[in-house]
Amino acid sequence: MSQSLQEGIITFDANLKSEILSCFGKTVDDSGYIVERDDPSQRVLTPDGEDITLDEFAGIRKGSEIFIKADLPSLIELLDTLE
Amino acid sequence: MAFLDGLREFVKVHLNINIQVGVKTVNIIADPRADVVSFDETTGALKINWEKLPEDKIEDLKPVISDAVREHDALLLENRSKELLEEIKVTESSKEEQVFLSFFKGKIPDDDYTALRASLYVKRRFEEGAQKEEINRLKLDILKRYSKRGRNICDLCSAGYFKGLIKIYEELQRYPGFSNEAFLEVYNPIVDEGNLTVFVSGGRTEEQVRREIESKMSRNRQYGIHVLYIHGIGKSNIEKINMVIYDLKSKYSTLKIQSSEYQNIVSMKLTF
Repeated sequence: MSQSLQEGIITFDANLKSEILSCFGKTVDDSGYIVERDDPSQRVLTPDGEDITLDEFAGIRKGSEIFIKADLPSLIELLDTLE
Repeated sequence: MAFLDGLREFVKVHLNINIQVGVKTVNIIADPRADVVSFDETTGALKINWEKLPEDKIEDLKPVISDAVREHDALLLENRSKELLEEIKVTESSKEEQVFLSFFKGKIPDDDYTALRASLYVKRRFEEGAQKEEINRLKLDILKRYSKRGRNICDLCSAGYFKGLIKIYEELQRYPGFSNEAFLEVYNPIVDEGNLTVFVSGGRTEEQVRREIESKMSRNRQYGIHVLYIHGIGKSNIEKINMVIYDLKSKYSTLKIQSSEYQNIVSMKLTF
């Protein structure tokens, strides 16, 4: 790994997910999915093309805006991008 | 890193707190009992307490955070996921796991490889005594992403079958004209069958093999499944399987056996 996991990461508490999303112009619709604040009919997508709920949301990384799910396979894939 | 300077500048300009020492990590917290900002000079850890920030300062902080990701390549990650990421890294950093994983990298499909890495983590948590709830949640993560095949990989990994697959690969490799496709022809049915498989490798007695086969036949029958697959490698294991099957045939008159042997590897389908 070229950098430690500490470097280049801003962490946040789980109960701030909505607030963090608001920094990126996102909000959550009635079904719990993360959507564009300016166009709530548009759900954000993960790199696999999946919708993502607030519960599933783990974070964001650069590359336009790449939304990361909190599940085990997604975090393993994220680890590979940090290597 | 530029975004760290940006956050330090935010703290200085908007909260009148001047941090002299370098900021190394930033954690956005929500804690009604904590100060609006805290900084640990030893670790370089800066904590900004969102709950204590006035509304106008929150509006000032938002573009600093989004710029950190969009312009400065920062990764924004929820604390629990960050911990999990670090735990996965620790699991994969042991020499044993590195050797194990590097063996399968490029030999099995990419999705299977990620499922295997995830399964190794689940196995480690199980061995560490994690609560059933956590294990089930982690297994569900694998199932959701990779369906039944992922769940099978997890079960087979937990049962140590992937170490047996290494032996299969090494055995196949001894024959001229070996290709990875030959390995996948053996590997794919095993990961597709999952729990319906008994894998016979060295170090197990005939009695242990017989008990496992009978136990799985009994379990499968209970759930309306009338099939069981057996895989074994090496002359002694093949002989062991044949002896057990010989006994079982006399015990279960309706037992039907389809068997194929390929380069010292035996595969059997038992129908009962």
